[in-house]
Amino acid sequence: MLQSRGATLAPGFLFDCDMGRNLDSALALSMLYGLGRGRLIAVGISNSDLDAAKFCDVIGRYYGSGGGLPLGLAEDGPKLENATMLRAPLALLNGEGQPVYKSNIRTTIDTGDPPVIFRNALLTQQDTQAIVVLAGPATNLARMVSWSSGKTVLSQKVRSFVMAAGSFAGAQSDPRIRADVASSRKLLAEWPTPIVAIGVEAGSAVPYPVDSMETDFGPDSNHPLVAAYRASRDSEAKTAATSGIPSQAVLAALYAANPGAEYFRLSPPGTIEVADDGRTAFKESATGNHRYLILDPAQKDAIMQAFVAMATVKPAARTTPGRN
Amino acid sequence: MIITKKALPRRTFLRGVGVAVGLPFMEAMIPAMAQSQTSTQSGKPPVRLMFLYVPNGIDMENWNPSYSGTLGELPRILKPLEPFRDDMLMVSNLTHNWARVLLDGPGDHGRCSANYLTGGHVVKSDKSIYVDAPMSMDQMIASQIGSETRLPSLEIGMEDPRQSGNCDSGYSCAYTNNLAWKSPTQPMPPILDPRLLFERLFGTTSDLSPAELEQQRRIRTSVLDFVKESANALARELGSTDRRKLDEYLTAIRSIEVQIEKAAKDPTPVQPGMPKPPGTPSDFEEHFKLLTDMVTVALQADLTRVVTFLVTREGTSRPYREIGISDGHHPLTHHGGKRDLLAKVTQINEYHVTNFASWVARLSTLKEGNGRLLDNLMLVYGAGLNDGNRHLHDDLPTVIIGRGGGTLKPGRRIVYRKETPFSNLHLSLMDRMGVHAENLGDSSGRLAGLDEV
Repeated sequence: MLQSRGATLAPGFLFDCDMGRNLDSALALSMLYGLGRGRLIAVGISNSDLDAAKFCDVIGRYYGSGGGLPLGLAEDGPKLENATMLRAPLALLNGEGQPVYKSNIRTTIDTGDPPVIFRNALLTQQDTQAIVVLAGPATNLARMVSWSSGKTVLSQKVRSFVMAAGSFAGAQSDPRIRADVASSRKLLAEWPTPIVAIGVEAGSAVPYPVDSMETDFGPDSNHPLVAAYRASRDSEAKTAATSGIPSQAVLAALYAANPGAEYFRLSPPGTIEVADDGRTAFKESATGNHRYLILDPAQKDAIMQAFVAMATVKPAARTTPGRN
Repeated sequence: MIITKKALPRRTFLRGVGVAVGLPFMEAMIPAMAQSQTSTQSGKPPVRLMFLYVPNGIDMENWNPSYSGTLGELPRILKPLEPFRDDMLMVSNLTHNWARVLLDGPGDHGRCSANYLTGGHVVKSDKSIYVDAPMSMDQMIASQIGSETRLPSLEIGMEDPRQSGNCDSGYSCAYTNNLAWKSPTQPMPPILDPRLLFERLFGTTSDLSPAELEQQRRIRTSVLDFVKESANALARELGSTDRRKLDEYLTAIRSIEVQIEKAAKDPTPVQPGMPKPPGTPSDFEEHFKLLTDMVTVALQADLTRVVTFLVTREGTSRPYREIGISDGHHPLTHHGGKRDLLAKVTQINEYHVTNFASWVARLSTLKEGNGRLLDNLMLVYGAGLNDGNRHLHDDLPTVIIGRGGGTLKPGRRIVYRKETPFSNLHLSLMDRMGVHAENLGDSSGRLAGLDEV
């Protein structure tokens, strides 16, 4: 077994998402980047839209990654039909006719196979230090679980797993589960660490405030997230104008970074099961490895303030990386 | 159809006292091979695999073409291989993740060579060596098909016999000085002494007592003296084409002996103050030619099907006075962006490839069966580091010469997705050697497209 050396490092975050479906994942990604240089160790995308990879790269560059963070892009995933939030920012040109947001990702060759990207990134982490955040279908991570060496690395390196998926109130199902029921089942059954699920009901109950998108980043913000917001304002945000941006992934990022925050409460342990139609059911069990987030309405304001504080962190000043 | 007088078994040797000289593939062997139950059961010559490893990375600016697909004009370092680009498959963007720092700190040179063919994690130690892999891919092949040849595998190199001590930031010299690993703790040190290699290829010294062996060394002028009678007898039984082939082959062996004798008389060391084994040329080009000439014979005679060649050891500080460079190779690679130093790195990289291309040129003239020897080879030329200055382990410089018995479609550059494990190439090449493994090191599958345009 690989032995950790030196001082304990801050945990690294691995983020797998369905970038391009809505602003939720983009916000969550920005929040994790905002934790500081080196904290986000890999990004995976479960669709096969190259613009999704470019947009993730663009967000990373905004936070100073320099395009160095490995990006995994599913090879056989769905293509996005309408992804204004991706296409519009990437098409923006400056006064010299050059793209406002530059990315070195030109073809799928510039991305990697998600399970390989995840495995390689996790191996940079001390044992049981990494935190995995899922904000999309379970496809990529289920592939990693299926892969014996992938599962070994997950067992060794991952401390916790937060998945923005499921529905734990009412009869609705989560589209992120519906998108790949088999993988969701596999992940829930075989994932080697405890799982905390953030249901759609939680994301709807505490939306990310639209006002924040309009004002907190500043009117002249060059944050690609703001460009994505503006581009999708007339479509997705028609509902957001009144209710805000659904925040299931945002909640997952916030919880992953602050699991001990007083505004969070979890269910007792149990097991999440997935029906054929994608609906999830939670069965309480003392030996269960799953919990889900229970939102206390009294904590709504505190959580929304925490959202904004985390999402609007300015990029860290550039430092010269040390040579190994 | 050419009719020969005699049907020869593939594993025919010309024998003398303490000597066994294998034969190249001859037309007279085809009827026997067609009935064989071994890997050559189809009557086709066997596929052979060889890795040639150069250390300290490559100047990638002058290695990678700006395009993928059909190979056209090649960058400066690969230019010497341009005449052979139709036999050349370039694979790009392959990564050896376990050679990276991860949590192990400095020591990229120590990790990358031991990791190169094993794909495994190299445990940092200069005493208790351990590579977290059952064995290297060449030894996996040797363990499965090695019994079909006189030598299961062949490991050769050009410098530094040390197998212990600290060679890189706490990594044992056993890591930097070996490519082949028989087990997690047992490397297969390369043969550095050309005379020993010659005896390994042609000697049956285990039949002799030490006194007899010494006497043979004293009186012998040529190994061919000992097999003269059997060679003449065989020649009488062969058709004209095979007779000519036998003559050329024995001439090549004699030429090797002459090179060794010449080197034995030359006391010039490679580096001042460092003794060299007698029979080892001090000139890089002569040394490389001598070793590759012997490998050629080994390949022709099907003495082995797996060869690893650690051209120089990882982290070497060998100077290249042959091309006017007295600085050590490794210090030069940490050029700090100084153009004059980088230019010397490029020159060394180019020099290595020039020597390799000269060998490929010689190989390309050799016939085998109805085709060429090259058609049945997979010569992998590459390094375990990309940029030696920054110690990068992605996009490892790799070219494959040969057609792998028709299982490779050369003449192209294939660029794989980022972080594609280099170990995937190993699995793909092992398949072509008839050795199938579920995984190796950090592999995630096979490489697609090696055999299709």
